[in-house]
Amino acid sequence: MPDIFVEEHKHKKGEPKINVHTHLEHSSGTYSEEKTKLSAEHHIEGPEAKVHVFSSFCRNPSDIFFKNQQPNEKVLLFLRKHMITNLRWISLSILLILAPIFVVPLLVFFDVGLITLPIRFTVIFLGFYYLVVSAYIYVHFITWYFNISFVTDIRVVDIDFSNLIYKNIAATKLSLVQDVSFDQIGVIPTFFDYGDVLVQTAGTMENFDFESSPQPENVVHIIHDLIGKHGTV
Amino acid sequence: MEQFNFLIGPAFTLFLIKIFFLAVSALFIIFLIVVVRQVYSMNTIVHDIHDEFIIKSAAIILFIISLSLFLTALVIL
Repeated sequence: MPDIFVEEHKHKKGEPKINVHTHLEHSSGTYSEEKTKLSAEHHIEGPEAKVHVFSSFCRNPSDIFFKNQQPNEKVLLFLRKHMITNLRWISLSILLILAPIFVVPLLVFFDVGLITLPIRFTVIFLGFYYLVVSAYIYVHFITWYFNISFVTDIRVVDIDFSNLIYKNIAATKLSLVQDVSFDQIGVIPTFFDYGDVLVQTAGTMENFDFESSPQPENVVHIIHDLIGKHGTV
Repeated sequence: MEQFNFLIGPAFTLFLIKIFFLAVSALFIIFLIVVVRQVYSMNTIVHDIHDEFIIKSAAIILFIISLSLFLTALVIL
């Protein structure tokens, strides 16, 4: 007579299904082999998806890899900040692009001395101005583009890249993750469905904060299921 | 005395503007070199099969344009 009753996990509609195959029946293999098999067969149900330039949420991405990724390690979830978080610098860029169209006639109207420069100076300055605006757009874009978080079948990886001079790569094993939660505060995050996902790790290890992550509820659910299968929750 | 008229005329002002512009432009080129290096460095950390080429190309194009602008300014200003 069994002394512990374990309820069968029922898959809720709308939730991503995570399959974990335990190889308890193959007790002849070594621990590491079992662990490898276990990790290799974690996957979020659904087809593999391609990550494109503007992707911010992708399950089972097939065409992106990171440094030190193990051969049998599979990326289950790929995250960037929600695209809407770029709205501020995109708006400013549009204003900067359009500014000369409005500013130059004003300078002419008020007879400001800048316009009295030889035409070759004006052309070079205008070219340089648009080059600086292009660089501004590019730097903001790559800052967003390279701020990536991965959830693999073995660990959680967070790549931070900001202001061109700061980069930080942090990773922790799923077995060390203790809790996952998310904050979604404000009208805009609620409307566009994004929020901050906090991954808490054991002991003194640093916590992970996936800022402005799209579909935070799904992200929490996916990580929660994964850490549950690793036996920490 | 005539050779010093250059120092007080509009030509000298334009010369100063040119020097200032070239200095700023040179600093901007150095900044773009840092950008290109960082993009290459980040692409070794995150390897995206499809978009890597576009991201790297954009950085290189910006660098080439800034270098061309610097050389053009050096010649025509």
